[in-house]
Amino acid sequence: MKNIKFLLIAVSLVFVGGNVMAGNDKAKLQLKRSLKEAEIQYAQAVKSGFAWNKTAPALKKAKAAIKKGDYGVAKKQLKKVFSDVKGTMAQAKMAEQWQDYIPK
Amino acid sequence: MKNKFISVVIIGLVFSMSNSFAGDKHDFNGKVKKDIESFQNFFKKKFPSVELDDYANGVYALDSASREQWQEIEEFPPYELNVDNGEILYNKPFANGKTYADCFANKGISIVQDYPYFDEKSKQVMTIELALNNCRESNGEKALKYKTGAIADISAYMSFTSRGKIIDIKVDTKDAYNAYMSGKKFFYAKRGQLNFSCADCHMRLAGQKLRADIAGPAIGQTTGFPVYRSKWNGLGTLHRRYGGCNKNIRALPFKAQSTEYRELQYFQTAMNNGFKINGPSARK
Repeated sequence: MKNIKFLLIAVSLVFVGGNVMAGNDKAKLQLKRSLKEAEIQYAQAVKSGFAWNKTAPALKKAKAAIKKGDYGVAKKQLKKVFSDVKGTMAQAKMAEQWQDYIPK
Repeated sequence: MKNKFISVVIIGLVFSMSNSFAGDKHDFNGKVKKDIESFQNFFKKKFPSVELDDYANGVYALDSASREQWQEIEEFPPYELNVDNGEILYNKPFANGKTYADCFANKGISIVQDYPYFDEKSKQVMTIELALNNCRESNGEKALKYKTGAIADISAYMSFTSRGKIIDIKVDTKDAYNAYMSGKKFFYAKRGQLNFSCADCHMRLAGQKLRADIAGPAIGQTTGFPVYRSKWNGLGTLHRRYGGCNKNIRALPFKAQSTEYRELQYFQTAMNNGFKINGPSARK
């Protein structure tokens, strides 16, 4: 009886552990995809000439966090990168409006 | 009759085309002149008690307390050693026996007021620092770093020999005008996480406190470079300052002597047409 109980616990632990690992792998994969997308978007931001100076460090931190398995931090940093790039591109678009600006 | 008519039409066309070309050329300078007028008028209206020439002294034209401190500093200029070192470096022959003087008009003496200019051959804005490094490279020497050190010292010496000379930046051709316009766009475009443009700090907020410091006016800013900044504890070039400005507003700075900064310098210096060169100078 004791052995069966032990076996059941062991099986469920393996099952849960496997699920957690699968979940972690999935999260890692998703973050890696996001990182790749963030890198592409940041390159475009740099090309526009309006990149922000804290975006590259955030990208670097995200990369390190993924490597470390610190997915919460990675997610937060990637969110910052996407938000920075959005702001950057908006500025680049707005810049055209200043082409013929004459101070009043 | 028909032939006569055709020849009259052709002559008319040629005449109108040549006029439009001449008009274009005239127009570039006219447009720049108009920009200079509105740029300078902006500051005349904002600070009516400040003499236009005094803007060459940067923020010290606006704040009397800072001015007193600065005048005391200028009694024993901290950049004096740099000018002396610059003179030595300037006259030191390259390995091939030539010197910097061989690369410049008037042997490089009293010429800073003509920089930057638009070089029609290379189709780019030529600054004094870029010209110095071009000179080195064409004589088989290694290029110097652009922000500080030897190039700032040599530039300081060249500015020193040009003190009192009137800035007269010309924007003659379509390509030059395009470079000028890129610089103008850079100046007025908001950038960085703080969403500030050069004009925001140095026009709209000029004379006001930004944290502990007072923002200097954009007009006259280029006349005193390279500058000895107390913050740097040394001499630095204008592009070093541009990079610092961009970092302050959380924008990714461009490289010193990048096209962007050279075009910005071209625009900014053109706005100072009529000012006297007073570099090198001391700043906070």
